[in-house]
Formats: sequence, structure tokens, C-alpha cells
Amino acid sequence: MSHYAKPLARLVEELVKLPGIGPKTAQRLAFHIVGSSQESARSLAAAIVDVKEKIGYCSQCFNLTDVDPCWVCGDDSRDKTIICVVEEPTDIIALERTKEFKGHYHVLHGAISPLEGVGPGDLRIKELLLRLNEDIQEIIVATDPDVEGEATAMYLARLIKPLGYKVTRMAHGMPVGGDLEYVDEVTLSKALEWRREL
Amino acid sequence: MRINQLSLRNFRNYRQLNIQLNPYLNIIVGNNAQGKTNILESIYLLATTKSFRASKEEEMIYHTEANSLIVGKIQREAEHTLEIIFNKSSGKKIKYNSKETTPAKFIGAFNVVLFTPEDLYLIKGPPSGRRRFLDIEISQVDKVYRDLLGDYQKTLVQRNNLLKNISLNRQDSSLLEIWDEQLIELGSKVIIKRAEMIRKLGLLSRLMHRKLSNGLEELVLKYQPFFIQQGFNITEYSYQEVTKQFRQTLLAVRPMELKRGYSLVGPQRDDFLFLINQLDAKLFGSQGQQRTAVLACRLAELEYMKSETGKYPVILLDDVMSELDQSRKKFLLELLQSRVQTIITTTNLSDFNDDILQAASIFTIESGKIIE
Repeated sequence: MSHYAKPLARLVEELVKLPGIGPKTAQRLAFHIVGSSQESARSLAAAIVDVKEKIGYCSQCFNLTDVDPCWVCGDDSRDKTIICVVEEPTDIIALERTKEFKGHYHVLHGAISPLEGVGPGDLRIKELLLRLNEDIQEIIVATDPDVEGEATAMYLARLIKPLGYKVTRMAHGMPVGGDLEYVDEVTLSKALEWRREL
Repeated sequence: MRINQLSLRNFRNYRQLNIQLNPYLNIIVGNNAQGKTNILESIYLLATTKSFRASKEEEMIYHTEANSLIVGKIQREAEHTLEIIFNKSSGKKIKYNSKETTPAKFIGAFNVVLFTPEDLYLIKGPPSGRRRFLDIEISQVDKVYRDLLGDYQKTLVQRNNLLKNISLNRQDSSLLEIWDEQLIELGSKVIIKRAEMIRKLGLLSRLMHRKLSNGLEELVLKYQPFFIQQGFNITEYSYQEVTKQFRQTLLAVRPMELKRGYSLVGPQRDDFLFLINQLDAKLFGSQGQQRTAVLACRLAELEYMKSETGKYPVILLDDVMSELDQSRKKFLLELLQSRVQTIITTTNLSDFNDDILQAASIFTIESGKIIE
């Protein structure tokens, strides 16, 4: 059935499993690799093997890292009194780009979703509780602003607040630098709801 | 608001159709099963992205083809192009001014109100039809509502899954609280918007109904949010009041929900009543009274949309003339002579007087083609 030589077909099938890659893109990537030098193909293969061998979870925050503790947890200049809780390691990258947040992180690796069979026990919540100590002053819950993220935030607040910690939630609202008239109705109505006193 | 031009390709029994519509009155005439309603359906799709007939999307594609296409040129301040493409394998695509977009951005660009002989089921039928009516009407004029409803439904699905797991002893019931909070918050907002819509539509319906019944009968639309059916009452639809009722009801049914393994209360159980002289028209109304009440409600819908969007929607009338008695027919025809764009299907031009036929564009349809 396949129009490809066997090794090429295998590569296309492997590539098509990747997120965001359809059959056509997979074919394009595979042909590109076939056409590239021996050296760059080896380098690509080595990079893939390397990342699997060397990258693991930080034992404290569960971010992806090649050293333990990770570069955030191991950085003594960062504020140890604040922990920002996120769903995925990619969220840390987004927050770090702001250069605003100097505290520590905790990655849950997902959000509560009964539909997908994800309960609190499947997330790194126990590990978060173990990190709580008298030095901590605030937990920022930065889970996604969707139904599952909100449920997870509520779960964490109910768990952690009674222990005497301040728990905050990221605000929903207006994009910065835009005109009010161009903001979509849904975002605008959320921003109105979450308004603050001046 | 009006539709200037409609083009169909491989849509149901149409291979190719291209019509320029009259800004006021358009009459589509033909025998049964020639494709008159398909034209109304295509225009309705441009407004809502959904069909008013219960059918699969692939049935909207001419049987030997893989794609079908609906294109409408819509006149608001300027002319806009709305497009819907159905594909047998990849489903539905929508475009606004040639750019692919989402239903959220598409719906609301063009508004319609549809009258069909099946409208009677709005009164006679089950509550689900009345909820669908509310949701479609509010969504056409309020984008926040559509988003709210989507989030509510997601929360409901998650909560139902959790309840099922709890009933099978796979998960403990302490997790329910975090979903309850969102269910109450989002659900209460849905209820408040529905209450507001029924209040406005109720006022307009009452006026219309007075005219249709020569002031002899009084029509009231009465919202029945789910907690009223559970024996709780409400004095005003404020956020505080509604969340309080929601919470109470949820607590009352908790043991039953845990046993059955799904959600038993919420706006997915809402309903509203048509009361004629304080009696429920569903139970006590004659066929004629029900028909008048539905017509009043549809006409009120026109005014409601005008008040919410600033423009009259386009009226689609699917073979309704034959159902009406002389006085109501006269009333409706007077409306058609006003300045609202109307597209009407009929099997028989004798329903209309000469003045109307002179002013209208008439399209004669025979098995998926226009004949001159």
C-alpha cells in the first residue's frame, strides 16, 4: 500500500504521532531529513535520545530539568516565600518571560478533570503540601482560566487556606496596550466582573 | 438588516442556485418537496450555523458530491459575505468576509426570525424545545451568553462524570464541592440572562397578543427556572437570590444525585409557560389559542431583536399562511407590507392579494431549480 520505501515510511509514521504534525508535514520533514547530511541527521537523532536520557523532573517543583534541584529551585537569590502553582512546565516559560516573578514554582502536571479521569491524586498536589512551611507567605494559583483550571484552583484554595496560608488567583482581564473598543465581549465582561478599586 | 444575494452549490437538492433578493418581500412558490424550505434553511444556517431541521450535516450535501456551499451577501451598514462549507469528511467550515472563523465570531453578524408550522410545538412540545428557543434567541444578540452557556455545559459534563464515579465508589464525594461552586456561579448567570430575556419578550408578546386577539385575551410568558419545579421560590432575579436558590436546591437533591450518578438540577431543567388569561396554554389552550400565542411570541421576537441589536432581523416564513385564519392572515400580511425583509414559502399564490404580488419578487421552484 505504502508509496514510500520502508525506512522512509517508518520515519513518516513516527513523525505523524507528534502533536501538530499531519501526514503532509510529516512527509515534508521526512524528505528534508533524507536530503540532509549524515551529520545533521545523526545530530537530530542524538538530540532526541539525549533529551529523553537527561531531562527529568525537579524533585522540588516538578519542572523539567537536567539538574536537580532545577535552576529556579537552586537559585538562592529567588524569593522563597512565594510559590506560583501552574499546570504545565510551558507555563513557567511564559511566566519567566515576564521577568516580573521572582518566586518559586510548582508544576501540577495537569488539571482536575473527571471526564479524562484526572483526580487530585493524579496531580503533584501532595508534593506541593510537603513544600509548605512557615517561611511561605503566599501561594499564587496560576492554573488556566477554563472550567478545569478553575476547579483545580478552587480545590487548592479549599485545601491550603485552612492551613493558614494566603492563597491568590491570577486576574482575568483586559489585554494591556489595546483599545477598550477592540476587546471581545467575553473578555470585557470578565474584566468588569474582576474590577478593582482605585 | 437584509440579505441581498444567496448562492447555493450542491446544497441538498440544489446543484446551483443564484438569486438576488428583494429588499422587502420575496415569495418562493412551488409544489411540495421541490426544495422551497431548503432555501429558508440555507439562510437560517447563515445566521445560526445550525439547521432548524433535525438532520445530519452530511444530508446537506447533494448526494453524489463531497462538498456543499452556501454564500450570502448581507447588507448591514456595508455589505458582508457569509459562507458555510460542508464537507463529507472534514465537516463544516465557516467564513466571514472570506476569512475562516469560529461560530462565536460568526453568529450575530446576521439575524433571522423563523416562523414554521412546527412552531406550535414551542407550546405543545417538551421543555427542551423551549430551552433551545431561549438559547438561540439570546445567543443571536448576546455573545457573553453563548460563552457562559458553553462553560456551564462543560462544568455539567465534568460534574456528571464525577457523580458517576462516586456512585461506582471510584471517587469520594468531597470533590463535588469544587464543581458545585462553578455550577452555581455559571448556572445562576445563565438563569439571570434567561429571566431578563423572558421579561422583555413577555412584555412585547403581550402587546402583540392583544392586537391579535382584539384585546380579549391576556398572554403572559412565565419563566420556570428549575428550582421553582423543586418547590423553591424566588422574589427577584439578582445574583445573590439566584445563587441562594441554586445552592438550596442542590443540597436538597444531593443524596439522590449521589445515588443516581448524574446531575439532577440546574438550568438544563428550566422551562417557561405561556399563560392565556392565567391558564397554562399547553394544558388548557385550544389549538387556535396556542397558534395565536406562538405567533405573538414570534412577532415579539422581531421587536426584541430590534431593541437588542438596533436592526430588524430578516423574517423567514415557512408555509404558515395556510395555517392561519382570515384575521391573523390579514395581520401578518400587513406586517409583510412594512419595511422588514421577508422571505416566504407557499404552495399557492392565491394566499396573497394583488398589491402584495406586485411589490414582491416571486421565485418559482421545481425540483431544485428556478423556473422562469
